[in-house]
Amino acid sequence: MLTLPIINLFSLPLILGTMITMSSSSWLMAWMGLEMNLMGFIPLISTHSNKRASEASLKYFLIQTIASSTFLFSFLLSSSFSIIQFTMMTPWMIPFMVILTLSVKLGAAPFHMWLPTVAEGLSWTNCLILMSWQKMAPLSIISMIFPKNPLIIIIATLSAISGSMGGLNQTSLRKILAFSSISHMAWMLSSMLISKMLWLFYIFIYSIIISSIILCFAPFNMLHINQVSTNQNKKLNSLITINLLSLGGLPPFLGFLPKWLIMFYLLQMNMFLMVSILIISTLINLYYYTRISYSSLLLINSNNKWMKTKTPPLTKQLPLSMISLFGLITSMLTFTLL
Amino acid sequence: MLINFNEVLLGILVYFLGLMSFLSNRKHLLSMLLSLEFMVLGSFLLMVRLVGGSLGEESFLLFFLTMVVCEGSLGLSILVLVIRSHGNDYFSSMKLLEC
Repeated sequence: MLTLPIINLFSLPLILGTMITMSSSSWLMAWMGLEMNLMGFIPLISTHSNKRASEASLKYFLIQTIASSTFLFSFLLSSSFSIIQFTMMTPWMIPFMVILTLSVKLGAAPFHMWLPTVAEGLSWTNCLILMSWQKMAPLSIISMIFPKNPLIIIIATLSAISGSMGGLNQTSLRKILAFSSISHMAWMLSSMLISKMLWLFYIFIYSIIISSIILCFAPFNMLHINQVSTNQNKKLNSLITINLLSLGGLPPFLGFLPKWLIMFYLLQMNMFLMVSILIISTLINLYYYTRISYSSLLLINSNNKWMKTKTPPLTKQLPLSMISLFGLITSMLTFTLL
Repeated sequence: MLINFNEVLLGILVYFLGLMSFLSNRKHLLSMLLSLEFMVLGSFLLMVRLVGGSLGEESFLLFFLTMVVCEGSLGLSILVLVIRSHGNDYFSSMKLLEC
């Protein structure tokens, strides 16, 4: 059972591990932060003793440890070859290996197949931690050391395509959000070609949007797209629609802002093919987001007469969704009026 | 390139043998965990050159080994969890969550 003492005990290494990695000045401390993060997250996942949770924690553990071990090996190998790391003397393969292993940890393509599987087996809160907080440590390492590597372009392109194509045939909500996380990873990696801090902005806004989505799904225990249309609260359907369209990056909502910045600066760098691949993959993402919500908004659903339970008021969901709805306009007005 | 290359070569060999053994396990989870320990043993060999010599930081190797052992014990506890829920540690029975 995921009780409060367990959350209190294991959220500390979870948070501190990522902070150690983000503030480290050596490779060893970065690796140790990644290990600590893993050690804090695995007990949070595996407290439920059913088959799905144990299988998900097993797969997560194996993927993350093989990535950590390969990461450790690659930087130890580089320091065995030269005193000053990553100078002209080191072989080119070592930055290659570091970026590949960190993209295994992130769930970026071509190493993305574990992410929908693991996300399916987690509860909604753990799913939220997996998609927002667990991405921060590997992305910070990539941004500090290899921000303008050409391999990032390849990984971002593959992530965009596989994240959009893979989510088309899914009906489970956690798997859909996992595939959308893969394609958002493409945007975050391509933002590293522009500047070192833009990925932080993107992941901050992505965390707001995805936490408002999960906050809409979790209390009502919705796990499947069939269950979205059968709730009795009409306001919830519109909140889900707003948040999903914001996740897809449509203009009046908050999710458009980081994508706009990345598109603008990538176009200034003349990377037209990259931008068009990202935009087309986002369009395909939008298809399966709107598929979740249109059955609740546009079709007539029959509710049972015997389900007369009152749905709880949406006090938790409304503030975050208002940020998602009005955030773009508010921030634009604030920055033009200041 | 280097004066004494043998330890690095042994470390690379041990690491890659462990990696190949990890990746080609079809049946049992426990052998994957064993090969994971073998991989970090190879990395430990590479780390000896990094902390030794005139730097004198060999006690850091103990910190590293402690982290590795913690990771291994985490893997074993997950093995126990999987065996408790599934009944065995075969990989062919871990298909509940596939796409």
